[in-house]
Amino acid sequence: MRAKKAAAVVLAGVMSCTAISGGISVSAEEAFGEKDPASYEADLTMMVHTTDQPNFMIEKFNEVYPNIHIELVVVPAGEQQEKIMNMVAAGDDVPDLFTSRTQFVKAIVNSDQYYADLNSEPYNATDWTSAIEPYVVGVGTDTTGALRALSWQCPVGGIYYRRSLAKEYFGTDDPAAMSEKFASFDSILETARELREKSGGEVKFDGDALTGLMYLGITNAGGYMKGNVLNTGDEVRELFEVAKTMYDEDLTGKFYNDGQSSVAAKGEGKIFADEKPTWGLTNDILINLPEQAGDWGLASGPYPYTAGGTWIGISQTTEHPEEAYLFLKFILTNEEFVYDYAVNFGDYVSNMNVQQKVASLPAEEAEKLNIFTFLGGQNAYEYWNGELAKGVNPEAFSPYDEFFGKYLLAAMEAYAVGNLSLDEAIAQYQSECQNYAPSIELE
Amino acid sequence: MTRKKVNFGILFVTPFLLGLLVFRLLPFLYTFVISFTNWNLMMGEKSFTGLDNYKRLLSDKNFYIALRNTVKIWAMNIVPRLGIALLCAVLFAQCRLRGKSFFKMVFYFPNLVNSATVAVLAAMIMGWQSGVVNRFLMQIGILEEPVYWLGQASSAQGIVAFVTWWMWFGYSAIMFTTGILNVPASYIEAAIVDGANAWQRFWRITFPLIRPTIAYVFLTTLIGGLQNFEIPRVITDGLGAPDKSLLTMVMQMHTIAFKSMQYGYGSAFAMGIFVVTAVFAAFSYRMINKKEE
Repeated sequence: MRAKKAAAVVLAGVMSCTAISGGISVSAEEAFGEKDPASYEADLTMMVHTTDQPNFMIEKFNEVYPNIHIELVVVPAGEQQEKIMNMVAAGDDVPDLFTSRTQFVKAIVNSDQYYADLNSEPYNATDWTSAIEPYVVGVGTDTTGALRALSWQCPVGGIYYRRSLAKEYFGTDDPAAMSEKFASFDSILETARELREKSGGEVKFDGDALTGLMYLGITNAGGYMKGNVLNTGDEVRELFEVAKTMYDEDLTGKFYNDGQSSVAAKGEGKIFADEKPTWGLTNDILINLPEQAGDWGLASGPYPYTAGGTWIGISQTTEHPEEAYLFLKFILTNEEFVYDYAVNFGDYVSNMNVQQKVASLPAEEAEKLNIFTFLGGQNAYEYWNGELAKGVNPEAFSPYDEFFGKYLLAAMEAYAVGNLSLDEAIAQYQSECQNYAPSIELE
Repeated sequence: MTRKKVNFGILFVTPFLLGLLVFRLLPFLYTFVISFTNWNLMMGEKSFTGLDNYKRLLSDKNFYIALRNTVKIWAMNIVPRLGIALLCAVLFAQCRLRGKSFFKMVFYFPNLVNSATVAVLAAMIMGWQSGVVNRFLMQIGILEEPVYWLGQASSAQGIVAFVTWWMWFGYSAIMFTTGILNVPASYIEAAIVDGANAWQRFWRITFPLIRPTIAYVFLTTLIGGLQNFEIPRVITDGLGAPDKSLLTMVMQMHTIAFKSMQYGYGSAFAMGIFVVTAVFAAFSYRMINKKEE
C-alpha cells in the first residue's frame, strides 16, 4: 500500500512537472485558435500603405472572428520604413501588425527589434508555413533563421505584350513563341529592332526600358548586394549596356519616370510590351487600359524574376499576439479566403495549394478571374507557377533595395542618355549607395 | 513703463517664447548633441563618436556638390526675382494702371500653390517625350526631336530656378509695393518741385528709402534659397539627378537622416547647413548695412 502511495505521489509529481513545463506550450498551442472564434475579442491596429486588399481581408476575417476588430493605419508607401523604424525606436503606438514592402522588408526582418519570430513561442507557426511558397518564407526569414514576416502574394514577373501587335508584326501571338523572342537580352534587342523596322519606328518595344531591364535582370544578377558587397558584376553591367542600346537605337519609349505618358502611348498602340511582375498587370495595365482586354498576352523573359510585394508580421510589443496571429494565419492559409482573394484581386497568392487550384481551373471557372479574360484566356496562374518552378532566389533581396534600385536606375539613365560613360555611371551608382549605407563594401 | 505693463508684455510674448523654446531651440540643441553620435536606426547603433561626423562632413563630396548646386540655383533666380519684383512694385505703386489689383493677385497666386504640386506640374510641362513645351516647339518647327530638359544639368537647374522665381516673385513684389507706398508723398512732391524726373525720383528717393525692405526680402530669400528642397525633391524623386545637379543641401540631409536613417551624420549635416546659412546671412547683412552706413 505504501509502495502504491509512493508510486502515486511520484506519478502525480511527474504529471505535474509535465503539465508545468510542457503545459505552457500545450496550453498556448491550444489557446492559439482552439477556442470558439466568436469568443476572441480584441482591438488591433495594422499599419499598411494601401487599403483595398487589407479591407477585404478584414471583412472576410470578421466573418469568422467577428469580435476581433482591426483598425488600419495608412502610411504612404514611401514613408513606411521611416515610420516603422521611428515608431519602434520611440516605443509609441506600435501597431499590432504591420506590412513592409519588399524593397525594405529585409531591413525590418534582419533586425530583432520589429517583428516577432513566428517559429518560436508563443506562435510556433512551423506546422503551416510549408504551404507557403518557399521564396516568400525565405525573404521573411532573418539571418539567424527566425521567421519574422510572410506575404500573402508572390509577385513573380514576366513580359506582357499586345497580342494584336504581335500578330501584325511577328505573325503569331502565341505566348510560347513570344517567350522565345524574349529568351535573352540579345533576342529582346533583335525583337525590338524587328519591330522598329516593320512598324517604321512607330511602335516601341516597351515604354520604360530602364525599369523593365532592372526587373528582368537584377534577380538573376543576385540582387543589389552580394553579402555585404554592392553588386556591380557583369550581369549588372549588362543591364547598362542593353539600356544604352535601347536608347541609342530608339527601341524604347523612354518614358522613365513618366508613367502617364507611357500609359497614353500604350493606349495609342505605340508600345508593344511591358516587363512587370504580377501586380503590374492588376495595378497598371488592366486598370489603365480596360479597353484592351483580351489583347494582352504573357510570356517569359530571359530569367525568372520577382519584384515588389508586401510582407506582414506581428509586432514584438503587441498585447494581442494570439489575435494578431489568427489574422496572419487566416489570410495566408484559409484556402477559401485565399481563393476568394485571388479571384477578386487577380493577385498571385503565396499559398501553393491555391496556386495549383487556380491554375487548374476549368475554362468556365477561369472566366471568373478578370486577369485571365484580360490576357485573352491565358491562364496567368499556370504561367506564374511555371516561372516559380524555375526558382527565385530569396538571397537576392537586401535591406537597401528601395534606394539602391533608384540609384541603379538613375545611373543607367545617365549612361543611356549619354551624360556619363559606363565607368562614370557605375562609379556614381557605387558612390550613391555607399553614401546611403556607409558600411557596405564596393567591388 | 509701469511694472503692470511689463508683466502684460511678458504674458503676451510667453506663448511665442514657449513655442520658440520647444519647437526651435530644443530640437536644435538635440540635433547638435546627436551630431556627435553614430546613431543609425537601420543598423541599430547609437554611441558617442566625437567629431567623426564632422570629419566625414568635411570630406563628403556630396556636401560640396549640394552646396554648389543650392547656391547656383538660388543665384539663378534671385536676380530676376528681385529685379522683376521691383519693377512690378514700381508699376503698382507709382503708375496709373488699370487692373492693378488683378495683376497683384495673379502674381501672388503661385505662392499659394503647394510647392510639390508646382513641381509635378513643371515636370509634366518640361517632360521629355510628351511634355507640353517639347510638343509645342516641335509643332512650330523649332525642334526636330524632343529635348530632355530635365535630363541635362544646366537646363534642369534653370527649370528649378525658373519655377522658384515664378512662385516667389509675386510675394517679393507685394513686399516692395508696401515699402514704396510707405515712402512719404511729401518727399516725392518736393523732388517734383525741384525738377527731378521719374528716374531720379526712383534712384535718389524711393530706392534708398526702401532699402530696409529690400534687405529683408533679400535675407529671407537667401535663407529660403539655401533651404531649397521641395521642388528638386519632387522633380527628381529625392535623387538630385541628372548627375546630382539638383541635389540640394536640405535634400541630401533629408536622404541621410530620414531615408538611410543615419541620424547622427544627418544631424552633423544639418549643423553644416546651419553654419553655411549663418555665414551667408551674416555676410549679406554686413554688406547691406555697410552700404547704409
